[in-house]
Amino acid sequence: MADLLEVVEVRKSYGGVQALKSVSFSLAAGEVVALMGPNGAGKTTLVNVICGHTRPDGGVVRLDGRSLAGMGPARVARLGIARTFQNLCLFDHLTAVENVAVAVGLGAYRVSDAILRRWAFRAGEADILGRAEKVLDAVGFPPEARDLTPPMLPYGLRKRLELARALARNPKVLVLDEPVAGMNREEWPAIAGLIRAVAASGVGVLVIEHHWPFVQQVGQRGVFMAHGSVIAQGCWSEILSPREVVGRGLGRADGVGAPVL
Amino acid sequence: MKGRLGRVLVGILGLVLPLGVFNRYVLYLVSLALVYYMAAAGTDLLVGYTDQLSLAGAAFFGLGAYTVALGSGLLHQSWAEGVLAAAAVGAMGGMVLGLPALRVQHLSLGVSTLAGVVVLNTWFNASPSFLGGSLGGSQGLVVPAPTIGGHPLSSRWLWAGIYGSAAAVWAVERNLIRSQYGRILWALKDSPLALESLGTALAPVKMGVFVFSSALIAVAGAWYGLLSGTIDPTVFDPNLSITLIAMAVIGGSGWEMGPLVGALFVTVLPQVFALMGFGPWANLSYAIAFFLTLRWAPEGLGRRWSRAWQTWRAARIRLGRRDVGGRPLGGG
Ligand SMILES: Nc1ncnc2c1ncn2[C@@H]1O[C@H](COP(=O)(O)OP(=O)(O)OP(=O)(O)O)[C@@H](O)[C@H]1O
Ligand SMILES: [Mg+2]
Repeated sequence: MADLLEVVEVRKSYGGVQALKSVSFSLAAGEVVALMGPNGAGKTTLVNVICGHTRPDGGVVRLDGRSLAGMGPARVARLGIARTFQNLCLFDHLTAVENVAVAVGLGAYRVSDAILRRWAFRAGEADILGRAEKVLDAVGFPPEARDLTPPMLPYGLRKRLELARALARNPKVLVLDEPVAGMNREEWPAIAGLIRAVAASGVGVLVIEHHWPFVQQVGQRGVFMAHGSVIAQGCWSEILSPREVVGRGLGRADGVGAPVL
Repeated sequence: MKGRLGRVLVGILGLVLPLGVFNRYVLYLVSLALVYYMAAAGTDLLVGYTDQLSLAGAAFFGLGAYTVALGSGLLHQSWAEGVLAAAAVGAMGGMVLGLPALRVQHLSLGVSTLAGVVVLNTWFNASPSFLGGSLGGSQGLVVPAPTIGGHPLSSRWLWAGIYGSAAAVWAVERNLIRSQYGRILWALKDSPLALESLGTALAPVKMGVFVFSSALIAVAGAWYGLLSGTIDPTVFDPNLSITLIAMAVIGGSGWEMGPLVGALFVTVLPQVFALMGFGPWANLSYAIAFFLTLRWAPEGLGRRWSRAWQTWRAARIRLGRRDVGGRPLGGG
């Protein structure tokens, strides 16, 4: 079976900084791949290239064998890649359920239906909000907090909300940039379980995360980056022992404290 | 349903009450306030949601006014046709201006749109005719009095027309904002990056807002022409562009009443001060209000209120703020 997402020899420089020096890896449907590496390794840059936010200097990203070259983020998203952001990008003026509703997308009804409050508007609106609520429930978002705006939510719930928003796109590929950063450790197992369930439904998940214990809970395979290059990849047992990962500064033993590098 | 009945009652009251209470001058003043409300509503959509500091407001206002004047003078259009024609001209103008406007941001957009207003002002001043019709140069044009069945409309009927038009603008904006399209606008304001990543291309959204907003402002300009009876190139007043933005900012986005509050504030309050003999205070009060809203409710009075409500709700639910970020969140 051809891989769902293929990243082939992707390069990107910012001025003199080579953020990505020919990075290649692939992701199959139903698989969770953990992308690891110290601060500044180029992980977020890679995510931005995959999602169309950053144009690479060279190389290509393919989804289902189709090149995404030259496509903007909206196009890429419509083809089935959804993402979360390392520093939360929520819609602060919208309530939680409205945040997710935006992701459900346009097309349920037309502008004229909304302005004239036609029947299509009522039906479409009920459908959109109903779907949004379902996704929120699926990520364990408390129903009583649905009509709060993100600034009113504790950090962990904001992270869940952003995850729900990405999931509401029904993506083929889900890219999570540090899904548990800043979250309580008690919440890790729930998020890990959620990610595994998403993958089990056939979605390819790319998880960027420093925290080694968390990564081991979710990922079957790891891609290790440092200084813009992939330095190792494969199943956990094939490549590195946990001690090596931590010792070489590729991941962190736990969620607290300063970065290893 | 109950809410709708209430709105209809308030609407009828708002229409009838001024007719019984106000004299002709005050009726003219509130009519003018509603004209500016329509323009402020259009401005609010653009400046409030897309963060595009367009100063083209006066250009569309003036185009709307000249469209209705030329339409009724040359083509013998009725006032209703004139208003619709103004909307069409405004929308087309929005399309023409929107294309380059999508490419530049903030300050350069402000400067270039302001330049557009000045150019139009100069051109209408200098040009005696256009397509065989007189533009009147600096003298301006007379806008034939609106009629129904050959009878000129009294100032009361003009009030009713403006009121109906403003009510329609209010309903359209309200219904638009309280829909998936309104959520998209808020999303665009809060995080264009995230909105794009959810599959919504930004350019068509911004273009749509630009066109819609321009059409609304042109409709306001058309009513201005009908209300004042004569127009001249000063309808392309760069100050008006700024005043419209002030109205939108004072009331704030995301609240249907926002532009109305802003418009009443800017048009009626100075007159009230003047009547009370505090003429010089008018501008000062305006400046103070502007400062206070920016200081205490930068997102506008409407949002300020809803934020207070949110805080109250959050405190009652007690979600527990145990987890705070463990490390600074850079990158992204
Ligand atoms: N927009 C940009 N302009 C200039 N340099 C950039 C830009 N984005 C990233 N870089 C540089 O590229 C390198 C890789 O950054 P990136 O954010 O991809 O790292 P990361 O692996 O996500 O790190 P972290 O773990 O801190 O999130 C860094 O040296 C960074 O300074
Ligand atoms: Mg990063």
